[in-house]
Formats: sequence, structure tokens, C-alpha cells
Amino acid sequence: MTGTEFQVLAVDDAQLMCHFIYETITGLQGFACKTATEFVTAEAALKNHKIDMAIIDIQLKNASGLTLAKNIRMGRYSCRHDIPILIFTGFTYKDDIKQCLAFDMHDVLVKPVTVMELRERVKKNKNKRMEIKPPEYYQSLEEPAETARKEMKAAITKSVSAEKSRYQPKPVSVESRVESSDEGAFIKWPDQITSGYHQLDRRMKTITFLLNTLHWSTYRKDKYTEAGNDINKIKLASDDMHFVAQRLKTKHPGDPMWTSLFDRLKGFSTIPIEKLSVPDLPKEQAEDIFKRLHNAWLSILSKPVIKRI
Amino acid sequence: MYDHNLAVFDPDILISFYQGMSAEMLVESLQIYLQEGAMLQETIMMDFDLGKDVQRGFHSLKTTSKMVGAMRIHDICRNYELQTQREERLRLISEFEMEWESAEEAIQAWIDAR
Repeated sequence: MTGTEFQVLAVDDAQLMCHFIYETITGLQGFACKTATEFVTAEAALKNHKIDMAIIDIQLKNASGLTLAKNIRMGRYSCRHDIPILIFTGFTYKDDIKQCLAFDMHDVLVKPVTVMELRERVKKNKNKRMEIKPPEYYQSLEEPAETARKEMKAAITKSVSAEKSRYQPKPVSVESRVESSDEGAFIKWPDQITSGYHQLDRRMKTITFLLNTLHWSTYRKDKYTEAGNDINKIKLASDDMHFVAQRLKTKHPGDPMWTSLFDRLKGFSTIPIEKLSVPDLPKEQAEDIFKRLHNAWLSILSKPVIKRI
Repeated sequence: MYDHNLAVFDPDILISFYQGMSAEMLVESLQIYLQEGAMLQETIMMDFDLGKDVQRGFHSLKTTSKMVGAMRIHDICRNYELQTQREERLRLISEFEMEWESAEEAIQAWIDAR
């Protein structure tokens, strides 16, 4: 890099996009490129380096690329505030387009683009004459929105403190901490085991956790209003595991554990778990269902389905 | 759901986006895609299990998958963004997990053949 090259800053949270833009731009004579995958890195580049053009993805991880672009126009960095700014987006939301127009962005590109298209747009916008107003103008555009946000926040704070808050946080139950450990769990996850398929291991752990939650909540909560919802999650998770196991079986038909797994999953799915959401279900019936769930699930967490690592 | 007739990996699409770029550049791009995609895939699976929103991850992967020609992954991501039913999203997540492995294999095989 000689220092006289036209310096482009590419900002996108996808490494592949940065790589693509970098290779595309540096293939043009007289052009250089810096990349940034994060808002703070991009700001550092804008503050510390001479940047002649910015290509910015509208949605960065945990930040807005549009904010970065507006900051440039408001003269918040050491680069010129009137440099060409190209907004890169996978969306075409009307509000975003309006903001781009209001802050005089040079161009909006919808992803994905080809090498040729990107090079054409960069060359075109390098030479494009646009009337960019002074930074104070763009600051004034931003200020009413900022003031409105602060006023709203003040109004909310004022109204909450004016009347006594009726929010009463639920007392933290020590027992809820016990639930998270294996001690006293309905089903203890065996140590160092695997089915041989990480897709199944992950799902078995999830279902074990869901069953433990169901058991704990049934016996510890005064009113278990989410029972139906939690039971539904278990049924969906079990269906999902069955579906994934079917797909894995087509890829690995020689594994002898499939027959046992499907038989045991079928046994598990025939247990009338939804009865646990019936209010005032007799204690003996609930205990019977849990016993069957316990035995059926433990049979799935046994050989030949699972093996010790 | 998603279009099973789409190619797992179509190198012609990759070449059409990366017009005129060297073979080394194409291989490098695919390696970045696999690396980044694997991390995104893991994050998506974990976040979904925790009940977190995974829309952003799918959105990111949708664009990059199209650029490298991983068309089934692209279509799954596109369908996930359009889908609102939890059961359907769960099914798409499962399909995504399986198809990601197929895409990895196909792309790696193409890289190894260069």
C-alpha cells in the first residue's frame, strides 16, 4: 500500500463478506481496503486511518451499521464526513431506506452481489457528485429523535416513581437451585456417555432436563399452570429426536442400536404424559405416570443405545 | 419445508459470484464459509435449545450460503425466516443440522479435489 490509494473500509459481521469485499476491492487498481467485523473496530479505523469510502452492512452483530454511517455524516470521526457511503443489506425495510436517503448515503446494495457488480458500484460512487450538507445538518436530524427518546424515558421514570410500584418479585426458592444440579434429580444424566451421535446426545440431554423440570414443578410448585406447555415441549422434543434418528439411520444403517432406540422411543411415547396437566390428578396416578416415564427414559439412556465414552 | 431438489453444493453458483477470482481464492472463501458456518451452526443449535432468538444467525448464513452455492442451507435459512410456527421451526432446525453435515462433506470434497 503506497498511501495514495483510495482507501475503502468494509464493515460486515460475516467474515466471508469482509473477505469477499476485500478481494474484490483490492483487485481494482489504485484501491486499498480495510475490513472490520465489529462496530468498535470500524470506529477505531474511522478515527485512526484515512478512509475515502465506507461499505457498511446495515445490521451488525449487537449494533447498527446505519448508526455508524450516520456518525460519519455527523462528523464524529476524523475521516471526511462527506465520503461515499454504500449501505449493504439483506433486507429492504422502508424505514432503513428512508434513513439512508435522509442521511445522503450514496448507494444501497442488496446482498448477495457479484464481484463485477460490486466493482461497478464502487467505481461509480467514487466519482459520484452528491450534495452532502454540513455535519451540523445531520446532527440536527438526529437530535429530535434523541430528545424524544430522553423525554419518553423521563416521562416513564416520573410516572413509575409517582405511584408506588406494585411489582413484587417472586421470592427466590432455594429449591430451584437444587433442581439445576443432579442431586435429587428425577433422572440423573449418566456420566461420560454417548449414543455415538452428537445430534442424539444433545436431544437426549434436553429431554432429560425437561422431564426433571416437569417432575420438580409438579411436586414443588403450588400451582403448576405451565404444565401443559412443558408437556408439549417434551412431546415435541421426543418427536424431533425420532425424526433425527430416522435420518441418521439412513446414513448409518449398520448401527445395531437403531432397533432398540426406536422400540424404546415408541414405549416412551405411549405413556399418557398429558394426564399430568389435569388439575387435581390423584396422587397415585401422577406417581404411576412418573414411574413409567422414569423407567422408559432410563431404558433409552442404556445399552445398546448409549455407551460409555 | 424446503426444496430437497436443490443442490447441496453447486460450485457453478460460487463461480458466478466470484467471477474471475483465482481457484485459490475460491478455496479460501469456502474454508472461511465452513469455519464460520460451523460456529454459527453450533450457536444456532445452542440458542434454539435455550429458547433464544436464532433469526440473526439464520439471516447471516442465508446470504453467505447463497454466495458459495450451498443452496439447501440457503433455502432452509430462507424458510426459517418466513416460518412462525414453533413446530415447523423445530423441524427446520433438525433439517438444518442434517443438511449442514452434507454441505460440509460436499464442499470439503470439492476443496480436496482442487
